[in-house]
Amino acid sequence: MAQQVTPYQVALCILTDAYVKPDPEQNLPLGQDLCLFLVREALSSASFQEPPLPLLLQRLHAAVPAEDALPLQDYLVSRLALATCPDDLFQFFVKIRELLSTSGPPGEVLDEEAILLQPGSALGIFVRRVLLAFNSLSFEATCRLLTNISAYCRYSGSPTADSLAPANAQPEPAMASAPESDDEYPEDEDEFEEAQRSGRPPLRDAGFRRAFGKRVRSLRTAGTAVRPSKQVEAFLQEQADAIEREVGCGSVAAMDAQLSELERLAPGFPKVQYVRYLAHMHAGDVPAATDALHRYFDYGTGQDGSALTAEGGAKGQTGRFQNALLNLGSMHVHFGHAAEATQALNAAVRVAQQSSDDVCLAHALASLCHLLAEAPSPGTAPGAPAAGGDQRGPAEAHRQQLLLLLRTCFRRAHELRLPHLVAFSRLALARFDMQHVRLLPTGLPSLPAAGPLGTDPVEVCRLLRSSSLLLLDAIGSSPALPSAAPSGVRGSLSLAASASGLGDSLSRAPSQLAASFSVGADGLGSGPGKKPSMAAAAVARMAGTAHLLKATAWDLYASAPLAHASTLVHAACYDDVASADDLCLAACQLASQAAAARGPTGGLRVLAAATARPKLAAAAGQAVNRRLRIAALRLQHDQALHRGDLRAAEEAVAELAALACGPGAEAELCVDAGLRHAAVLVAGQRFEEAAAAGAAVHSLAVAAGLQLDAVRALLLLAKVHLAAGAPAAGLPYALSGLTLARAFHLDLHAARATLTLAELALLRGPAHAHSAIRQIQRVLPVVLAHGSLELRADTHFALARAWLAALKPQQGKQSPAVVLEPLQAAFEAYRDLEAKPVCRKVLLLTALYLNTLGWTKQRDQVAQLCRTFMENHHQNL
Amino acid sequence: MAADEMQKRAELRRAIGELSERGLVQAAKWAAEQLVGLSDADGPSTSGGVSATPSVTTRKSRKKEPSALKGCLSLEESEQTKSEEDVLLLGKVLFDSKEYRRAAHALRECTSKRGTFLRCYATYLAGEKRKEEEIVEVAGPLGKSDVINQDLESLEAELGGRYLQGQLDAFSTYLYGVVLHQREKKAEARKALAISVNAYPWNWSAWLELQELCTKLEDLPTLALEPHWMRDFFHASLALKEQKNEEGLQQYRALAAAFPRSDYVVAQTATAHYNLRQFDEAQELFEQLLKSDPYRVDGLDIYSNILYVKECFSALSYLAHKAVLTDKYRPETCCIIGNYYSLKAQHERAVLYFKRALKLNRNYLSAWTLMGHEFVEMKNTPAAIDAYRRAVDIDPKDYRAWYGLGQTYEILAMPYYALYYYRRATQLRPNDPRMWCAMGQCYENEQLGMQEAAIRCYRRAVSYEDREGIALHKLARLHQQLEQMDEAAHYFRKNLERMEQDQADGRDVVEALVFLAAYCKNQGLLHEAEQYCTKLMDYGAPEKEEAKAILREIRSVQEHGVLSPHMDLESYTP
Repeated sequence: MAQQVTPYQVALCILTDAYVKPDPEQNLPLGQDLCLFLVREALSSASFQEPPLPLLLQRLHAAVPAEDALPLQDYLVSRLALATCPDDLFQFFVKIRELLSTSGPPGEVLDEEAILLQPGSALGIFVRRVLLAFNSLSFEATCRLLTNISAYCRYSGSPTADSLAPANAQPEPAMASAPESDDEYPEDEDEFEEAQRSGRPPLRDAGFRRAFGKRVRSLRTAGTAVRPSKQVEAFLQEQADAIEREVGCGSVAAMDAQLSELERLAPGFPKVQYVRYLAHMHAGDVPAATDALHRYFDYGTGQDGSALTAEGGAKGQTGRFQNALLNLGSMHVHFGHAAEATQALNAAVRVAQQSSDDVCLAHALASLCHLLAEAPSPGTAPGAPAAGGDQRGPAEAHRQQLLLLLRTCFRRAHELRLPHLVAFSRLALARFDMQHVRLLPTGLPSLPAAGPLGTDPVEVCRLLRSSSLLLLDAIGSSPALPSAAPSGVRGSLSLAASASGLGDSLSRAPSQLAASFSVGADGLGSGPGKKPSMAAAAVARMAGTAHLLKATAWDLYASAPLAHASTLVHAACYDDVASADDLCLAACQLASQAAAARGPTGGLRVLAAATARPKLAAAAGQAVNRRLRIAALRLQHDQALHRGDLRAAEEAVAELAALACGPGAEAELCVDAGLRHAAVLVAGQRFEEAAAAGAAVHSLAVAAGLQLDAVRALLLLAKVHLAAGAPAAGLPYALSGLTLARAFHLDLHAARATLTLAELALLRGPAHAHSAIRQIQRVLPVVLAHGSLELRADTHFALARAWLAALKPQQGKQSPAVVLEPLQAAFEAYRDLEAKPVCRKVLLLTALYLNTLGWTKQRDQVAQLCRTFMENHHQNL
Repeated sequence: MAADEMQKRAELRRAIGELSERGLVQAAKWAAEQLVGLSDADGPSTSGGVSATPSVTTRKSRKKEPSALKGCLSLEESEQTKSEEDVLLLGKVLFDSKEYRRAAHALRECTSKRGTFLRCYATYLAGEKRKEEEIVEVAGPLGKSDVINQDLESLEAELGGRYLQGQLDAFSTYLYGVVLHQREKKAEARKALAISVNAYPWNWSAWLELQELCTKLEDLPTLALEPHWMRDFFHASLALKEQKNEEGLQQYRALAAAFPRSDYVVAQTATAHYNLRQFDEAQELFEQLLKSDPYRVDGLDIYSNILYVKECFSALSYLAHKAVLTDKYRPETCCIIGNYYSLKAQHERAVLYFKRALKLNRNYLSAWTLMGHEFVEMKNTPAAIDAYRRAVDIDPKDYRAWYGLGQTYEILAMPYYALYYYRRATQLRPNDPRMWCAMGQCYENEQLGMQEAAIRCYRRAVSYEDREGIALHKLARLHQQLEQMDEAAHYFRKNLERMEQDQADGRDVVEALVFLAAYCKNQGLLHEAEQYCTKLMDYGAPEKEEAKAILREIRSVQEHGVLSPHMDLESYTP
């Protein structure tokens, strides 16, 4: 499409002219505000349309001090209206050209105060571009520009007081601080109608109209020219980014209408199709997405060839086809069509290999990794027979393949210097390490010899650390990758198992990658407005995700404050770049952290507050809603269990199972639901069923390679036997749970296992009380520093009971504090948890103990307290 | 019947006058064509009807006016004042000399309905003319651009106001419908056009506009069109557009009874035959058409397609020559020449002429598609994709372009990607075996290797009478590959039967014979196997030797009888 000059650009040139070469007769107020306004306008990419004159005037009014605005607006409108014949335009642009001659006319001494328009400055480039475009216009096109200018003026008139009324009514700071936000498309329309309704004074181009006849240009075309292509590209990029993140992109219909409008006004942007494809894909509309995708790539090259955005122009011709296949593949991955995705990706790999397109190959590899990571591993489908304890089942093969692919992907990305792919593969590797226990180097996958199980904790740490460091690099213009990742933090971060809730956090990545590959490679940070390109945006997003992964890792390794800090870092620093999934995950993490510290009610409150935030509310999609609901249900389940409200707990578990265990659901969620179900059964004293459910969950977890859940299941089984009063039967479960937890460095679970062991010991009789005390005391530091409220309460209670069993009556009288203090602490913790039944038990025990001590006054107080709890409980029921 | 015909004749004569004095030339042309297309059993010479002043004709025919004709026309004419008549004459003359803007200006004071229509129509055409010029200025002859007719808005406002007040006559309502259509207000446009054709059915342009707006045949009842013989023309034409060719053909046959000499009906019938791939019938009709109207260009691009398919070099060149002499600057003419060059395998030149056709009419669908074919021949795949894509964007129902896109991607060794396009093509032509065959070949591609899916596609093709016989052979071979010998034999036999009927010869026959001979021998059908072998003896060396070997084997089996089922039976009897 030929380069066009629009009235809006002419208007900006008029203001620039006025600013750079002030006319002494006019005596216009020209401050720096005006210059800033001009630069902002020239670079704006908040909308693809140029603002109509009323809106431009309004923005001008908002940008400069109120008393300066009126003369400026008057000047602008009168200058625009001066153009009545083509020659006026030629004269005007001759004048504009003089602005650029920095030296000034020969012989004239340059004034110290004079402002120079540097040809290389933002404004200088803008003026030069307009000049160039004007110079290449044909005569007809110049005539058209004249017509357009008169139409541009027609809907404005002079800026009288009434036309500015809306601008004045608005609070000034808001306008000044967010000048970009008010030129979104719908508001444009409103402004327009507003301007029309308010009955503008007659126009000043009567002469022109007489000459050219009464031709009313449509409201839409008058002044709503499309911005220069760079800015439109940037606008589209922002839209694509918003869709990718699923935050704040509005409904598909609105987006589609906007895109159609752009398409109508400027058919030369095939990327519109791309944005449409993304929009439909994220709305879950397969046929429409496929349609738009194919159309985009069909128009990718050919006669209009402006759409070549793949790596470099020469590669574009061939790059197009593998990119098309790559995108098709990632679309199928998005929709979970595994077979189709494999076909498409295989085809992409084949075409890329033929044209030796390494970059495309690396992306295809990343997409394959994503597909493998998302696909439910064989043998874990709900209802499938458990694979037994064999570690080398199909699931293991699947994992090994994934690991191999991820490593290859990482290596290739590093070689090809693709920061976003490096970040992706690092995160995916870290996630893999956290989710799966693998054999330590002694037992290579090919060797059947079973080495010790475990992971390389340093590896996880390194991967996560370097991912956020990448951010700096990607945003800066240098494509180089950070050299060796710092390996300073050793040993603190450890291993792994299922990171609950992490399921989706990485799922968007490959589609972003494919997108940034095919669309966003137009130079890092070189777009108008210095927006980071799509690849950089993807890296920034993944840096945020790294913090969330870190939080999960700290959580596993039992460092509550650090986990909390990591989540907060994400919430504070990555809020505006994070995808909807990450926002949702951060909210869930914050809620579960709050629940651990202050009980489920506190967690629910945090979750509600997070959900109500406009960012997350705007992002509400089906997947996000599901995740939030699952998090809420878990908290509700905990709450109900603590309160002893079995029916509510059962309901929560039933809904949870329905949400979590659908076809194709992640195994983690399903296993978690199973564990919770078993916990309800235990609370309902249905021990046999609970044991059966626990065993089933355990085998499912083992088959899916979910070691963390396997440990949890073992501990649950131990607890079942504990509650059933069969300490000998529970012992092996608790012991194996403890062994595994220690092997995997799951300190909190090890503490819980130790606690269960101690409780089992207590059950076996007072003779074992001393060993129980020793065991509990060993885990006390961890529990008190990092344990959740519930764990702390249980530990205190168990400790008190152990002391009661261990102390002989006369010893007890000597040091009542060893019993009373833990009891007091347990009572307070249980009270915070709203666990009234247990509270009663604790109080009863306290009262009995006080009775043996003979402290009748305190005993009566405690008994009284106990009674109020019972009454409350009955009322609640 | 005769009275009916008389009435049609009268209606048409009057309509031609009314249409031509409003500058609706195409509609008048069409009506006149139909008028002479009526059987000339009796009735006066047609020339008088056309040139007669409208008031006279109207008065004559008013007595027999059918109920469909609303009173608006007579009302309008009575209110027409004498002074306006002169201005109207000037306006019409300016209009005829294509000075639209001037005509509109001359008619600015007119208040009569005819004057208003002519002014609005002139304004519309002036805007269209300017639009065309601007498109070329802005984006070049083949570029896409956002230029719109600048007069649409004011026209919509003016006509819309009167439309709401019920002051528009049928012609202005038609114009309003056109304006609405261009403003992308399709539902309103459809409504306005339906009102227009119900009030004045003889305006063929209105029917055509309505046809463009009817995207589905199911929409028809919602339009509430009143019965009229013009509606039959519309239905037939719509059926053709919607690829309901059998239906359309029947309707045109019925119309041909009423309009036995109508060239239009003949041309449409020929097009229907062409769509049904009945080339001989179509060719015959086109030849008949050219005899009766040797300077016709409309629809001849389809004739040239037929000649292309039948590889009639000289006939095609003759047709092209004639078209050039008649009117060089018609897109159809360029298309015919393009076809000729394509047939001569001069693809660059063909592209040149197709481009020229597109310069004359940017939305000329078949030229985009044909240009795509040429680009494929020239191995310029990106350009081909672009051309096909333009075609499907103009009309998403153009199955040829979808098919072409699929083929192009298949050439690029992207069979999986091509599948999408074939799927679109099969959706549009579910009964076309060629589409199914193409899709089957795609599935069969070694990259995809989805033989099961390919078999399903070929079965569909066979069920729709694949005349080229590709499907049967492919099916047989696929089954052979999958070692489903019984199915393979079934399809080889069927294919053999088909080839014997067509008296076809070639590798396929040999392959089928070789397979069947071996298969029958293994199944113990020795007699049949022998037959196949005998047939094979007529062919070339390697197969001949193979046949001999099989025959020898059969002989030995027959002699020693080890494998014979007959012997088996005997051995079991005690």
